[in-house]
Amino acid sequence: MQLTCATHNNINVITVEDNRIDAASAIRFKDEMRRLTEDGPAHVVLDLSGVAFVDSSGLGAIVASMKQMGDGRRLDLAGLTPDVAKVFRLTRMDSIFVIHPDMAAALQRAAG
Amino acid sequence: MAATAPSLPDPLISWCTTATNLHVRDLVESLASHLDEAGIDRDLRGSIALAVSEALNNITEHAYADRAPGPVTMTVDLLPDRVDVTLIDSGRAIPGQDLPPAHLPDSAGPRSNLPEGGFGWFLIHSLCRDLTYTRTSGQNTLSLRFPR
Repeated sequence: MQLTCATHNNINVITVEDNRIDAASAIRFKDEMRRLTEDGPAHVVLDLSGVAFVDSSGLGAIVASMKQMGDGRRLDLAGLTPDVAKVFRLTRMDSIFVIHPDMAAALQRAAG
Repeated sequence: MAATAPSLPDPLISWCTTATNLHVRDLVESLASHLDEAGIDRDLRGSIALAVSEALNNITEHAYADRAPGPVTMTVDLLPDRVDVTLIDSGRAIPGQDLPPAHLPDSAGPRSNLPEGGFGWFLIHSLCRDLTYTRTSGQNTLSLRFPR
């Protein structure tokens, strides 16, 4: 599970480099998210534009990543591909996260 | 009589593997490419891959829990009006030998109480039209039917 991170306008942008977050990678994803969000900006955006598939284990790991950041910090999502958007919609987790169409929109919203 | 187009995949195909997370991933990828080659549209392909992935994860995590990972067979039947996927494993039976209900975990309340699991059966029920489970001769058979 490879994640990369960069800071833009005091937002920690984390990009998932693998094309799936599933039962085989969910635990590593969550651990890697913990490592990348323990310090730094309170506002984190997870760029999922390169991810074609998330199963319920992957969804659970994304939720866990937000919970482990603690209150007062924020995890937004950006760039959901159609099948990933479907998982969030069906489970109603799309009402829990702020979801941006893409990273440009996420950064613009934060700046404006 | 018109010949069957040679480029179309066989309407009925089976894969057998060992139920581990990595093998499940490979199986779901094989399924998705098979459906793609068969001309199943992207949205339905995504729904089938997700539902089958959840069912396979259940086999890995529950049917073969506390024992060595065992075999799972996936059969895909491409019919004119639907796609049928059948999963057979030799693990333990689903408790009560009946399908768990389509229960969506409650995501109301504070962030610390948000559910991190329990979505699997809800997704399976939501994504396929007919779902049947049988337990015979030490084997579980789960059939998922998706209208085209």
